[in-house]
Amino acid sequence: MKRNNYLGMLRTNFIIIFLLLFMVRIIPAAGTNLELTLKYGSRQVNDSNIKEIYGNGYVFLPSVCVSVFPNFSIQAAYEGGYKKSGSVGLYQDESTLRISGLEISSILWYRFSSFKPYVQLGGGYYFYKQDVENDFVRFQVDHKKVGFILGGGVDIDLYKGLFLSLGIKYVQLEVQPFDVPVDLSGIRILGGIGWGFKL
Amino acid sequence: MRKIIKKILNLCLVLIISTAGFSGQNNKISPHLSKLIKQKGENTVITAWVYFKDKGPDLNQKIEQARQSFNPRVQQRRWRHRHIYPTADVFDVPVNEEYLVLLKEHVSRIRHRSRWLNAVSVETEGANIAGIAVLPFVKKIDKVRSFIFRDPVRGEPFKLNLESMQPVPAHIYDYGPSYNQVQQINVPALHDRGYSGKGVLMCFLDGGFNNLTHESLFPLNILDTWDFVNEDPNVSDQPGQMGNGDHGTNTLSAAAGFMPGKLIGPAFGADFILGKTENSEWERHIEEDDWIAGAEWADSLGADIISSSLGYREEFTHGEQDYTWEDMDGETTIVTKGASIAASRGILIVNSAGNEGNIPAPQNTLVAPADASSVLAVGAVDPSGQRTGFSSVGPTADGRIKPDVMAQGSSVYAAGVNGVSDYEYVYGTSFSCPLTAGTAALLLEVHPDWTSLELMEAIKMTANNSSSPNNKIGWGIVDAEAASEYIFKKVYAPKDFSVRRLEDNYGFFIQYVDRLSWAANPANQDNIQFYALSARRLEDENAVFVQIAELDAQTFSYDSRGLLGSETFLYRLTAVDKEGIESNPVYARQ
Repeated sequence: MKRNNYLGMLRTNFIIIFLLLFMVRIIPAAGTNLELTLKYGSRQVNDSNIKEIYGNGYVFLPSVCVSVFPNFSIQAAYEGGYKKSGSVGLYQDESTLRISGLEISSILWYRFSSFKPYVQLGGGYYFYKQDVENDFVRFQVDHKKVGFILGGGVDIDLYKGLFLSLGIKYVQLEVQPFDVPVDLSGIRILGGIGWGFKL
Repeated sequence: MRKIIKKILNLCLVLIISTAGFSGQNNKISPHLSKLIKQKGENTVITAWVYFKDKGPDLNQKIEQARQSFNPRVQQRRWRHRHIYPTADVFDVPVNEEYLVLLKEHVSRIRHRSRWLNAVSVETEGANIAGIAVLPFVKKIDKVRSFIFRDPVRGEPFKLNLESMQPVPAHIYDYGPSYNQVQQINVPALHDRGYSGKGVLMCFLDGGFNNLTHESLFPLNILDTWDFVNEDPNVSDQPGQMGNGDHGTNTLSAAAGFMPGKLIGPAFGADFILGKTENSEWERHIEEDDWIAGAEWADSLGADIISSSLGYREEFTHGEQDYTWEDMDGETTIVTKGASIAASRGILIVNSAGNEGNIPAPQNTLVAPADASSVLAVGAVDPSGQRTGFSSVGPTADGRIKPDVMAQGSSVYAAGVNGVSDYEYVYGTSFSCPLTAGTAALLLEVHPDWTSLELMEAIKMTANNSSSPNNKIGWGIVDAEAASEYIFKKVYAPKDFSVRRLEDNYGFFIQYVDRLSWAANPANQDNIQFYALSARRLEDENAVFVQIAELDAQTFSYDSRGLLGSETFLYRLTAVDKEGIESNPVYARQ
């Protein structure tokens, strides 16, 4: 239990530090690199029970990335699109589950010709919402939780600032809104298009 | 070429048929029996049940023949129950003799024939079982289970605290040291009105009945006796025979002993038949086929009540886990099936709840057939009315409240076996059972038109915990006088009301569901308009029953959903007829 509290504190501090760094550079100076990207891909769910009910799904990920130091950027993103329906419980009640999150990550990258591989470390504030409603039951699980992000990928230049972005990331998100611990962690495999330019 | 193909096809066909036949034979042999043969070897003689597929041709004619063969007592009892049970049915038809002729070639001895189970128990070498399985009329072969029924360790005899005693009201009999055990269940009040069980036939199935010349047993009207273990009419111990007959002497005297100033049981005026169905020592060795044979014998002689101070549950005894707490669901063990069929003949079965209350168990410590819904399971209280620790607890595996009622099972004064004037204090639900059975006999004398179900209802609904029954003392301590004055409502309570808690996993949280089920009471004859279901939260002492549903007459289950794991409820169900009259409630709790 103590370990969990400690981890929670660490996560929160981590997010605050990145938020501050981001705020410092939120209005980038002239000449700063800015990248706008939209990615789409698959999202896995680790929890076997949730996976059985709702299955894995797909997410989209618009993001903005600002280079703050050489080979180092800060990325803010929104992950959405995981909205699944499934039958739950003894009576197979119809239900929906939505998971989304606001993410902030530090990106360490290096450019090789037109390839820009990167690693990503960050955190996110995730929202998960389960609705069950029928003639007999009506309830909603609507909670939030901070999670960790670890990822990597490569951006490939295409044409005049346009680039192809391929990436993989793992989000660690274990929640326990009530008595049952649920592991919403999972790997995302994403691909998309980005546009980079100098301010 | 064609011939070769034909040969191959024929070979395949033979293989398919022989494989199917082999697996079919194997399916007939129960895993328990296969295991027993493996353990003991094929040359060892084993005892097995052989079940038959049917009772042969002309079944309707055979049922009619069975009906005509009933003796007057049986006819009377069946007629009394004609509104709820058939006056004769397939269970009354004997096992088909032609099957027995063919079976005899494979067995060394047929121990008992059971028309209820459509089976025979046999002794045969393990090697013969496969041959029996091939017989086309054989449905299943299973082992006959044997058990040990433990009586609790005897404690110090109860000593009356004369200083704190209230003045004893005057009764026509002097009960002597047995006063407390009959007064606690209010029997003397009925004795004072002249009732003693006259005209009621009680059957005792027990471990033997020594010393029947005891001064308290001598006056009893014993009509018949049979030793099902040794197959002779002598139910006392005999040299070279198996058994120890002290226990039956104790139970019979608790129910019906009559020696003023020393011992008076509730039903000393009844008629009796005594069956020795246990190969008994102090821890009594019991074989289930003996009990079934005894119960069928009681039925054929017209018994109204069977008092059976036994119990089957192997995990407590041999530790082999053949029967566990999960099998105490009212329909699994052989004796429970037998007891349920006996009840459907109109016999009231009164059975001890068991002496395993001190043993930790996941849900219940009941012993079969106390788990049957139609069996009145009796637990034990001490002379002051407190439950004894050894008295087995419910609920049944399918969630019904057990035991049903309580009577004294500690320091019960009973006839001994060392001389005509020997008495002793005995302990166990074995003795609360005959006290209750004797009370039932009194009630049947008072109300000869009551059915066995009505007897059960009257006894339970007037016991001292009937407003809030639970799984330790059931409906509480019996009150004979109140039961005799019980007025039945026009509408009968639903039967077999039970609750089972299920887990309802919604992914992020778990809720619980109490699945309630019940059965229509056939005595209501389609008069029911609806069932009213209410619940009382048990965590809150001040909580009252709140109606949760009204269900139409064709609905026999209800799921109480959305419960937390910590919430427990007592459920109450009544049937309401078309005139708005409500039945007595039945209760179920986790």
